[in-house]
Amino acid sequence: MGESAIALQMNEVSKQFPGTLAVNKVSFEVKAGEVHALMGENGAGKSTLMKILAGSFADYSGEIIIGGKPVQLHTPHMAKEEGVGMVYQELSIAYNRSVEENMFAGKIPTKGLFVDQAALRKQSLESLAKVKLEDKIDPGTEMKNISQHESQLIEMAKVMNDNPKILVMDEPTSALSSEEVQMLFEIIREIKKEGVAIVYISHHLPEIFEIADRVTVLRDGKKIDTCDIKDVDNETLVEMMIGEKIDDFVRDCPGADCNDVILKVENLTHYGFVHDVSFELYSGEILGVVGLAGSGRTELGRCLSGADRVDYGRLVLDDEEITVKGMSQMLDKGVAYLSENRKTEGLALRLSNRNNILSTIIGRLSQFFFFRPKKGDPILKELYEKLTIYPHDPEITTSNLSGGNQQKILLAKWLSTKPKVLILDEPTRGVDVGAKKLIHETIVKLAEEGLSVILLSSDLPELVALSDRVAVMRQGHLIGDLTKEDGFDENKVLLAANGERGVFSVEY
Amino acid sequence: MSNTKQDIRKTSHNSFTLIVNKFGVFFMILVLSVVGVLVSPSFLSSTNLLNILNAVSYLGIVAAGIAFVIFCGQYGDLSAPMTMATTGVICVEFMRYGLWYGIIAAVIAGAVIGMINGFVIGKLRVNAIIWTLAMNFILEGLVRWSYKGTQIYPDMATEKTYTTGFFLPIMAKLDPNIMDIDLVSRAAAFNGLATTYPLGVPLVLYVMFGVMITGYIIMSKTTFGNQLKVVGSSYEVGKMSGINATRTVMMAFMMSSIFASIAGVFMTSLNQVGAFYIGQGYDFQAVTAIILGGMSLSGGRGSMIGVFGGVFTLGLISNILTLLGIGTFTQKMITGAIFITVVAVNAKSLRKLGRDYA
Repeated sequence: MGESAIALQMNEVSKQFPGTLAVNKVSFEVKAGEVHALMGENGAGKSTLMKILAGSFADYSGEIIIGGKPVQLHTPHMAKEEGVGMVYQELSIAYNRSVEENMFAGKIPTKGLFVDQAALRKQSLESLAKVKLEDKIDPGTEMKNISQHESQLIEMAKVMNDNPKILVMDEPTSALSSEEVQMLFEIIREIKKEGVAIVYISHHLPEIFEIADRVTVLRDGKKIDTCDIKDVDNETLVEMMIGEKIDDFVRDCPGADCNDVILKVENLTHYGFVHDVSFELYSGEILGVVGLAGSGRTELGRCLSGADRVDYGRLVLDDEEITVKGMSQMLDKGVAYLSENRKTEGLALRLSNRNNILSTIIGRLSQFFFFRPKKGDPILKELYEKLTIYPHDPEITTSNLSGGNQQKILLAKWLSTKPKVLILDEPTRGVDVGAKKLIHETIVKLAEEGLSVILLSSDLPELVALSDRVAVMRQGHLIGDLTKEDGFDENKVLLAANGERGVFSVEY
Repeated sequence: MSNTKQDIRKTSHNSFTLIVNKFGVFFMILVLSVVGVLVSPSFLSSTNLLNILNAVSYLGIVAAGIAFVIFCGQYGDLSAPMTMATTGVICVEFMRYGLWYGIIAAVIAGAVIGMINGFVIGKLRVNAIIWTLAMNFILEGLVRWSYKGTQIYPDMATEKTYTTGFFLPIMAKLDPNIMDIDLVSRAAAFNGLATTYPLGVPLVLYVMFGVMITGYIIMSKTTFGNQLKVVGSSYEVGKMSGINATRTVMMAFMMSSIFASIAGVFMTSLNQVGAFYIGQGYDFQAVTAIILGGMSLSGGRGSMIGVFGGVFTLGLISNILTLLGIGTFTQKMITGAIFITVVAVNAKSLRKLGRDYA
């Protein structure tokens, strides 16, 4: 295998959507046996470019050359034939079928009219070996019993069955723990050795530096540059992605008067998810809650906001004892919950931004059963200015906005209710650097104005930078908290969440 | 500082697509009118236009109701035909105490049917098509079983009449003088509903416009309507926005059934008989008209004005086909073909605008 054999070359590729030039004359090449990172903010055109490669569009312009031969990728089937393999962020799995059936969907070996079980088992074990799972997983297991991490590897094995020349991975690590990421990287390195060209899409900068050989940055549908990973550092990459320099956000001194207790929670329990959780929240405080997946972090937020049932426990908000009945009641009392699932629970993407932002306060803006949209105008104006949402037009359909601006709309939706306690569940998930910074600034500003924030986040740097205090949850229990005086950093928080060190006696 | 450089890519859709999407049905009405004039010079005469409107007025009332269900993202209310029949029968039962008793009883019955539909679909999240189809069957069985296969005529009052029906046996038991009611004048009043022409325009047409305007106001101006829009676009989002999604879905189905019961009363009056077959086919035609009017099957999109456009378009097509001498059976096939085309185009245009998700 020649050192510089070019596996994939895209020349001046463009794709037009109604009203948007999503990819604008992008040229891009990947060598065989390299990991080529593709970076850019949300909406920069990465996904569209990769969808072109996967054969999702028949109407792109420009030239694509695979292995020195110009090709037409007009259907997913054509792309597969030319050796393009895709591992998407959202896995395509039939959960009620077995691992082996999933891996060989569409090409199950047969004997006459029947499935050749022996051959299927043998092939699937061979295939699992490629991702080092042959000892860990019985191919007959149903997919629903397989963990997220292993499902992803199985999906990868499935794609590798077709012996692709080019493997595209879209945010493969977004749901993985750091250990699992390392395992994935080992497998990627193996695949790389076989001469497969890998396109690796990720937002996560440290990963890129670890795994990638070269990096291409897209912005606003155009290619900015391709560089060797050795020649760039964090700052330059971020600058290329957003077009300006951005300092890491560090929160200044926390708000001065954090003495009034606004929310007092005692023995809050939702059987099976949250057990005997007690804490106090001060006005103007940002309380970070950390915990691994399944620790009951999200469920705590949902219980407090009335989205989930509270089995027992006491809740005192602003000196008023509250029995949680439902979301609309808690909204009226001043507790708002920003869901981690923007697309399914957060925003109705087909509606306009105006409709989305005002959806929580339709009742409040009404008189005698009639909705008065005009009364929402000043609220919209204020929120648009506060959050610098672009484009500055509330009548635009939300789906046309970039991920970052959608997240701002979601934040605006909850701010419109004028909450006393704002619960933020992963407020910056899948958001680009610029929008992330702005959301952080906004959260801090709100806290300074006296709003109390409960921040549920798996983004440790974010949690550490923003929080005044970090509470640690494990298996549904609140096992303690770390204060600024204790001096917390990412390491301490991570160790506490993993239960590897005691919370109160963190010693180094 | 956070004023990042302007993104120069276009963010709006080209206005032509949007206009076609929004007012496409009125463009179609224009084209059909031209065709109509070419077919027959008397097409644009006020008599003919009134005929067209009169022919679709029942459909219009039903469609205005089902529009709430589709706006709510629930695909359709297939129990509308039997809701019409059932409420019509109940109206005939109660009209012997006076016309208004009959109408009010019918509307209450409609509200109850809608409440059951809405509860099951909104609370238990059962597929709307399957459930309302089942409801239609249950109601049909119920009517045919109660009446032991017979029909009910407004002026019919023999001993035997009071042994069948929903409430008639109970009425006979409670009121020993029931045989003395002067049914002839009451029946004439009921039958007159469909044949009254205030100011030369059929009463039912006034009712259709009344229903449409009420529906328009409820859908776009009220708290309920605006919450329905959010719930219709995404049930989960609505629920997570503190909206009582179950109640919203329930009210949408109640609107559908109440409007269907109004149409049922007029339809029964027109036929001068209460029977299970009253209203057959109206579910399908109504959905066609609604989609034709630009309402999206996936909910949250469209308006009552479009629904009127869709209803009127179906009327125009039927009228032109009749003028051309094409029979009812062929017209049915053509309506079916229109339905398929409209749904396909609707799905495709949404996909083009990138709105086929959630």
